[in-house]
Amino acid sequence: MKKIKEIDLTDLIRPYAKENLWIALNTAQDKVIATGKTLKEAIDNAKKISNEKPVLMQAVQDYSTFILGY
Amino acid sequence: MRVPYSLIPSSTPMGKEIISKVPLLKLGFKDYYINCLIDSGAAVSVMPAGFGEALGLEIKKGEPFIMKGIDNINIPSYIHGVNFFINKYKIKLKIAFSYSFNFPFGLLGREDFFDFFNVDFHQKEGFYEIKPS
Repeated sequence: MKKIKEIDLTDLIRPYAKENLWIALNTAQDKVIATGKTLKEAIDNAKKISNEKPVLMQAVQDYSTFILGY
Repeated sequence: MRVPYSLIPSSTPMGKEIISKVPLLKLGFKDYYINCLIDSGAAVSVMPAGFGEALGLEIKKGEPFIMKGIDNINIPSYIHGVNFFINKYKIKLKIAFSYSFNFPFGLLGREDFFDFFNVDFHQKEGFYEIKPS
């Protein structure tokens, strides 16, 4: 079966992971368009900057706790 | 619908930094998407209460529900029926929103989600496939 390129979020997440900021990615998930200390703040900041529908998640340095292992 | 896996920073139990490949799925709401981890090990879908508040829900007006977590920890939550889109499909899921569930993304569990969709994982090829059941 043909391989599909994964969505690499690692370099996008890292600059914001120390503060655990919420990040608003563009729809293609290859660019951070806004951040916020809360989910709501990230949504509001993204709306101010772009008409694009953002994809929200929280930046964390190490997700192993949330995915049960590595 | 084929969806690429996502790569996120993680670590081994020995503390070595690695990159993990996980099945994140963006759930579409009116103005934004929320990334969720497809978690077939979870009975129900769970989200931090803040996700529901951003959707305009009054969390504590939902149906009270106690989830059992790892180590048998009780996680109080409130269930709401939430409409959203996955690509062209509009579905309504029962989601448990909790103030004690501080996750960086939502979790899509078996109830409802796995009734609506069949999911085939092709991890080696870097994608998973979602089809209506």
